[in-house]
Amino acid sequence: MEIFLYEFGILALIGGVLSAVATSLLGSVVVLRKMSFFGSGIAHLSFIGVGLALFFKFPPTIVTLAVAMAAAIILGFLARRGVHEDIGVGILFSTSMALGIILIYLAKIDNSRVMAYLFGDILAIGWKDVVFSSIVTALVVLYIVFFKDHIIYITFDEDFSKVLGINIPFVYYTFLILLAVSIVVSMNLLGIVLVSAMVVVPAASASLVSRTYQGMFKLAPLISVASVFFGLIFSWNFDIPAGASIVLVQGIVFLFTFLVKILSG
Amino acid sequence: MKCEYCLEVKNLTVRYGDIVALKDVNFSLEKGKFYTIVGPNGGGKSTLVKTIVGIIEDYDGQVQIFGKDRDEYLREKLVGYVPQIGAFTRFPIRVIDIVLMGLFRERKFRFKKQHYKKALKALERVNMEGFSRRLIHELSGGQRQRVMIARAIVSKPEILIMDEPTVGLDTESQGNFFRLVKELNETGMTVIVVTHDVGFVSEHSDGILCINKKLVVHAKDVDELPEEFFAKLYGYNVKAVLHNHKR
Repeated sequence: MEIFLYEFGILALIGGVLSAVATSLLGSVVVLRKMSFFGSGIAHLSFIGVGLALFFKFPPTIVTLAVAMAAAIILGFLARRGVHEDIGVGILFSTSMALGIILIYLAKIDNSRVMAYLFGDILAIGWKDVVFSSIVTALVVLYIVFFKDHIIYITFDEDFSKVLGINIPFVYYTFLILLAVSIVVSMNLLGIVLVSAMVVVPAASASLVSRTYQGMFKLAPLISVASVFFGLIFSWNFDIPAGASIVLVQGIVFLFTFLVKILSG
Repeated sequence: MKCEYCLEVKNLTVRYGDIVALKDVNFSLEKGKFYTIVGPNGGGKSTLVKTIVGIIEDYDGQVQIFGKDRDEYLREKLVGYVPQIGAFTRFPIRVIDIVLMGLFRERKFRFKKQHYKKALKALERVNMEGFSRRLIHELSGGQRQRVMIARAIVSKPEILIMDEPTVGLDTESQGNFFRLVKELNETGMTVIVVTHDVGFVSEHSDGILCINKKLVVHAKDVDELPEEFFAKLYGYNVKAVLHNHKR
């Protein structure tokens, strides 16, 4: 608990919790829609944004956000025309990483800076990051409060959602854009490589032990927040990277819930 | 002005890109009757149904429901719709939540007690009152179909349309299903069923629409149709074996 005596520890906890809430709520939809690769794909596609920002010396967060949102909209557009989200990601995934690496190489950027984008540094976030995370998390919570049933209906039975008159493009694209923004915010904490775990693992764990989708929306944020809390403590106590520690805790929770599921039949 | 027909379709043409799914379909259906739509796979039956209930947005021609343009009517009321029974992957949704979907437009922000009461009543109507907390994938095909009917009727629609509702059901479930649908029809609800069960068509319905890209025939009774009609419609030899052994 000593880590929370320091300002960087408190900031990491607040930022981590905010990110955990946003990504796990949207992650529940991601898991239900079976588009788990999407989170990872958006993060990797955002690497083009990092490359562009460093090459042209633009603010990385803004460029990365723009690229992630554009990628989400394009992938969503393809998905609405029969190319599943994960297939679209699979096509663009490696290409975007390659382009990002080339741009960063041409920009002659110090490797340590690139590593920070790839693996993140939750202990280095500032109040500005926390404020940004708060805004994004508030938007995600509002979306879930007002549109949870809408996106669940679209996922379960899209035709009947049309019969009900649900504005499917609005609900769907808003979800994708919020997911992209949440991923970019969480990238500052965990980096491109690990961020998809924040989206998928807590929700996947929740899906194993929750009977209903409503249960998933309650349990996934709890698992994710607890993982951030204990991940930070383990990181401090065992002197290991904080982002990796958080993801490792999430992985252990998943394994535990999986065993509980197996043993309970 | 009192409308004579519950559904009027005029010169309806629906295309999927370059493919014409329906061409110049015209018919009128009377209120409170029981109609069946038959025709070969790919003949446009589902397209017709999806156009009527509002799933298909782009079409040429006119669809009027109780004298109103389709979109105008659907802004005010729902047409009860039971889709083709799906495989239902293990989606973690309870029966009660599925039925509540049918009341989605009645709620302001969230479902309240009165919505739950209506949903339970609809489940009772289809003899599924004890299943409200079960997950949909835990049910048999026939039970799932009943849940879908409960969802379709919970908002008390004037028209109920079902798209091949008995596919995958065993004979007993089919029989139970048709009895239930007939009961709903007897309450005054107009019922339209897409089916391949020609025997059922003759036994229960007040009218038959035969669709194969266009409206082939709109008959009052299967007896009006010549012996070789279904063979021509389906492209292979079909004999209508009636449930009451008339033919």
